[in-house]
Amino acid sequence: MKIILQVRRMNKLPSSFRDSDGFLYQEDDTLYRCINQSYSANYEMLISSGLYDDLVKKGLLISHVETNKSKPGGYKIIEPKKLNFISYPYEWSFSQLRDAALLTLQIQKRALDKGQSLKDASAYNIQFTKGKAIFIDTLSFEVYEEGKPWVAYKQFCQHFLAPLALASHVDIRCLHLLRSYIDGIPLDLAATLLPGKTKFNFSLLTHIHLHAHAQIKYAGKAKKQTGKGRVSKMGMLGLIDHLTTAIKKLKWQPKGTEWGNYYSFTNYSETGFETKKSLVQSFIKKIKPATFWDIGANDGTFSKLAANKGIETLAFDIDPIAVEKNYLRNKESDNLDMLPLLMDFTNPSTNLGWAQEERSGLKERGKTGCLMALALIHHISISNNVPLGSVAKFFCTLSNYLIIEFVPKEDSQVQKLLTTRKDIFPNYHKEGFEQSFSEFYEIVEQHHIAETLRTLYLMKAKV
Amino acid sequence: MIITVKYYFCCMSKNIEFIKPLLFIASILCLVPKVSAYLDPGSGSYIIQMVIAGFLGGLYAVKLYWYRIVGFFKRSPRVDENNSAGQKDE
Repeated sequence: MKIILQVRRMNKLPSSFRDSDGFLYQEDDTLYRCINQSYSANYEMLISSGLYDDLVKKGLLISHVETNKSKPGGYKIIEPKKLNFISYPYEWSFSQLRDAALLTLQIQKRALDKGQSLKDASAYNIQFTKGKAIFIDTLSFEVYEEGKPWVAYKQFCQHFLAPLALASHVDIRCLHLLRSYIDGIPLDLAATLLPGKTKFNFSLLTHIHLHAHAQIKYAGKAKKQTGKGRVSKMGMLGLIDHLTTAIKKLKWQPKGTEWGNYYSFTNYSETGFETKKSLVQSFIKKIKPATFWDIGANDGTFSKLAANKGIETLAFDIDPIAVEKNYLRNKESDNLDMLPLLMDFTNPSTNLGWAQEERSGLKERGKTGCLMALALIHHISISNNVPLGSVAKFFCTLSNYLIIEFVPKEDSQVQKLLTTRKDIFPNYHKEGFEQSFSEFYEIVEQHHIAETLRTLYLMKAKV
Repeated sequence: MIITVKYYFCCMSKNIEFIKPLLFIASILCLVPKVSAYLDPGSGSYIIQMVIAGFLGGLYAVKLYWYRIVGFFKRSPRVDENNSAGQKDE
């Protein structure tokens, strides 16, 4: 009873319940991880083998410090480096999930070299920081027992291989299945959806098709058997190497799209574009936010204005091509503290999982210092019929500062949206926009964008 | 052993020639071991893993030796094995 009461006071994270070896909790805005006695030998091995130092030094594993705190039943309490925003696999682009998969395999290989193995291979163990994937679960390592198969093989295939294969061979939108199946895509479903030609791909044949077949065939049967099935260390290394090759071979290239020409400001003159950039820069300089969310970021051209100032930036877009391009460019050249994420703001991520608390919705993950919505309002209000007041109300839950561009009906982009439908938006004009947003925000600044019909606003939420 | 062999005959009955070596590997493997983990590894997942790991382990051993031979003749540093799964790929 005493233990239960203490756990409650500790504010245990609702997502931290699966692993009996420890849990995450928050105390005074600091995140801690309690390591239970059951994990002590594995933790000591992680540290004494040098694996922890090796992975942290290479930026593959999140660092932590051991604290002097103690809890009943606890072995140690560590304080991991805190991340301000946790993203989920169903918000990642193809290459983000692919890099997360390769990182998991790379860590498993390094762990095997040091006599350890990953006891899980969840995509939720990976986060992105400064453009690169990082492993965040310090309790995922266990002492390797020679001959023991990889306990996380099924999970790896469900969390990584199946969604990537579906995105690569069927449709990129298959990645949305990860939102419904939070423990990864069932392999029998993946095998059903994949085209028949993938049965002639040895990697997909073995790790998905035959794997799915075996799961169905032996479901509930082999648990009664207690034989001495073995996977040698060389076999394990071969499996990891083969999975690595399989993941690397999976590519996604949007059909009929030239990467280099995808993004273009067809509606802007050079002057208009530069005016908009300098206005955004001046707003950022004025409010100096700690974090910045650009919603409808496209390939992140404007998000970089904040990220270049050292501000932790999230660049959301509904388009998987834009998110993919933004991620790859940032990873390969820019290396900014910017995380591109896939998000449909007409249907943002919601609370999911056990008790609707395991994976947080977007607004449950906290407010940002500044929200920016450039060339987005017409997509939400006209394409999706959301009243302007409702947009303002929702934006207000995400940030106290808002940079927003109003695109009037006369703009060619809005005209395109209205070409095939009846104009049922009598209040969609500059005055109507200002009136609707004034209920929730005060307008700090507004500027006409040169050589366009658009206006850029800086707003502050009313307390 | 019986179940793995039976399973493979069942799956491979469609003339997939390049899978045949796996039948040999399957025949030397045994049953599912006991495990203590918070994840359910899945019975079928364990069986398929045991079947393919023997074959893949052999391939991996050949690959490692091949790199060593090529490295010896080229007189260049051997490929960093750990980098094979690196974040930066080819």
